[in-house]
Amino acid sequence: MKTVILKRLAIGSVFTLFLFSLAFMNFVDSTNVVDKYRTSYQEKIVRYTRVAPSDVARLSGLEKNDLRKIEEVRDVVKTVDQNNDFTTVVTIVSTNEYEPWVKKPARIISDKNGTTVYDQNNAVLASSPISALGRQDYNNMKSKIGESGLRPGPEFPTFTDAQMNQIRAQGGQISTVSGGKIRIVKGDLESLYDATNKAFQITRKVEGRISNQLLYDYADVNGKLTPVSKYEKQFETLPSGVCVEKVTLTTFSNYNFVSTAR
Amino acid sequence: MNYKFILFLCILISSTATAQSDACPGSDSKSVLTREPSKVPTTIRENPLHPRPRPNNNNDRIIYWCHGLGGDPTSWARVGGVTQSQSIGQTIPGYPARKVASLFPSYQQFSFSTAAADLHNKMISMGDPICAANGITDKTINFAVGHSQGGLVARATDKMLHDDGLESQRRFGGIVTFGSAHGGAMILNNEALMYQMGQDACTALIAGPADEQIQGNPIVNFFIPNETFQSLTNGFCSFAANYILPIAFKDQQQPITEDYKVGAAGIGNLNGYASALPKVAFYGVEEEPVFYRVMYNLMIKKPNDFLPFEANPDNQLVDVYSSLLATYKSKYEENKARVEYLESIGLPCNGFQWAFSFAFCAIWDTEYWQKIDRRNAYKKGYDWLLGSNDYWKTVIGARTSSVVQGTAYECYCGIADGSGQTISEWHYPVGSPADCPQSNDWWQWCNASEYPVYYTVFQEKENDGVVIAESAAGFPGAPAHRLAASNHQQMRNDVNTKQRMLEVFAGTHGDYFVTAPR
Repeated sequence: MKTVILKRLAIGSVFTLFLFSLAFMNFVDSTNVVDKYRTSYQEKIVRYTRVAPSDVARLSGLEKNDLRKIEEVRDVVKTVDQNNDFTTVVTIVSTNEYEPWVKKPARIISDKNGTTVYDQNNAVLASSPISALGRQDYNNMKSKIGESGLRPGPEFPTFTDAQMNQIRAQGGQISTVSGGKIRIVKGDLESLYDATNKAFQITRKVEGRISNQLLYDYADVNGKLTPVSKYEKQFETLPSGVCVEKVTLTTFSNYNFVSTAR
Repeated sequence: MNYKFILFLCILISSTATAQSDACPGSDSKSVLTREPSKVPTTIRENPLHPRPRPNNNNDRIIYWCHGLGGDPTSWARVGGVTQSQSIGQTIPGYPARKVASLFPSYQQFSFSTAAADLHNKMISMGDPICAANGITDKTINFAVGHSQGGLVARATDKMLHDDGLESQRRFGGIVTFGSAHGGAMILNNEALMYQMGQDACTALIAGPADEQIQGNPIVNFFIPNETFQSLTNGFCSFAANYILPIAFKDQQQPITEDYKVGAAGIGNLNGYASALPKVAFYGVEEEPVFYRVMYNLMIKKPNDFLPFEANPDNQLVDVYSSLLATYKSKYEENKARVEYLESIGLPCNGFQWAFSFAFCAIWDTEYWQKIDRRNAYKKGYDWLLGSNDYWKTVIGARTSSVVQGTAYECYCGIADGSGQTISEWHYPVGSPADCPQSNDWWQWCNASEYPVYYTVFQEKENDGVVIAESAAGFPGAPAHRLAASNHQQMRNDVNTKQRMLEVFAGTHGDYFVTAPR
């Protein structure tokens, strides 16, 4: 009798465990997992090159080919799951980047395993498995996302006198310029900080010369901080000796950021 | 990543080292935009067929198959061979052997004049015994078929004998050219651009993988700063451009090429001579991308690696190209996405965070700038690949540009400091003034204005991947006919070669050339 009860208990336990397992499997089914962060938006990217008029004649025949103005519209969806694994899916809506004979990328998926580029027929054009360094980077970023969380943009508090003094105490130069903007210079970096308009510009120098300049612009939309545009300048000296300014202007629309993180 | 392909591109072509200018960034810069290239139709001069009748000869006439720059007697071996004879069981469908003796003379490539003298002597030494054996007394029933430079040398031989009053000594009476640069070859004028293209390829394609390699190797990273590595890369690419590529392209440096650069006296004198011989010129018009198609037949699989008239497929490098472009795109997008994730966790420090700790920000920002640099490095390779076919067309003279000034609307925004000095400015093109957010405070402004803009206007000409069609069709006095989808190399052994040679033997391009099947 005892054996029968034990057998029934054992069978019951296994059955219960099986049911639990099914339930658990359902629970961990990735399709049902709510993303920790989900960001979606449409970005319009305009890329062009600026050259001083006096330098136009110095450009070589090859260099003139690079002065195209590129316009691209893309839908972007970024998700971070509960394990802080992050994925980016870019769908190219329109672009004038490619010659008619080029197999055009239409969708790019970048995740923990690497990046795959698809054409409009969903055929794989290239698949780059994540490199060793890429893996290391990925894991570092994953930890940072876990520690810091994601947000649509930085906060823009107003500087107090004490904070300005802290900048000076660390060897930085800080001054208030027109319109309440704050200019801070330290080493190879310069920031122009505008709390009122929720914008900041970072200028980076390499070997004493300006190499990059980025202007980030945000706005409150329905009470939420939302990226508006990013204006990026990159300075480059071409083989002909002409200095050009490569501009990338990105404007964001339909920005939606959802966080379920506690 | 297909490093072999990168290496191939590096070795393929390639001088100036990338110079840093103290004036970068400059000031007072304005937008330079480009327009879509306008396609220039090939101008073909209409020339009548030569009236010379079909030679009255029942024996084999000689065809002198003349090779092009860097070629040798094997260059025409496939077509010349099957034109003379075909063994049983190895016949070419639709192309019967003709009553001809195919000879493949080589010649010295020092100048038009030495090449012409040498070719004439070879015709005597190789052709006269055959004429004697075949009972050919009128040696002008023999004719020459020249590929590229070979066609020009045949013409130069004709001119030399005319100028020397020795026309009766001429061993041929007609000329057929395939892809000969009768108007000169701009690729020879643009040698420096070609090397520049190679060096640019090298630095652009190496940049991304090198950045990843160096950042992934802390020991290398520690001992070799990134700037040093960049300068080493530039040094390697400069070396490749100046020392390796001239070896790979040694034929292009043959002294004879001085004679048919565009505008050279040699080609000018040749075109100043009105030859009375029957003649016809065939010119290739390759499909896009011409660079990858012609390079396939130059470097990977040469025309004579195919059976007679079968050098038709040329898509292999195009497929490799597409794959490589998408690979660079994937690496660029991967790093772009990571830059954006870092921005979403609050990087780079926006100035306010500096108040808490510059040191902390410096550590965090380092990763951000590294990602920006790597993204830009892959973008450089991606951009080079996107432009590569246009660069090549520029090198061969098929794509030319002119800069014109026009007007467009630009939004110009700026911020000034307390003294009125501009401390930040940005410009962007807009479709109309309404697209610019107007503000006009003394310290912050945004104005739309009609602005002078410099447009680069491109013109593109049909070409065979090496010579523009206009030049190859420009044989004075000769009817010219198109070889559709043939590149400069293919035209020695593809389906168009077969079709056009059949026409030649059938008398489509003049009765003089009519040659009976064997």
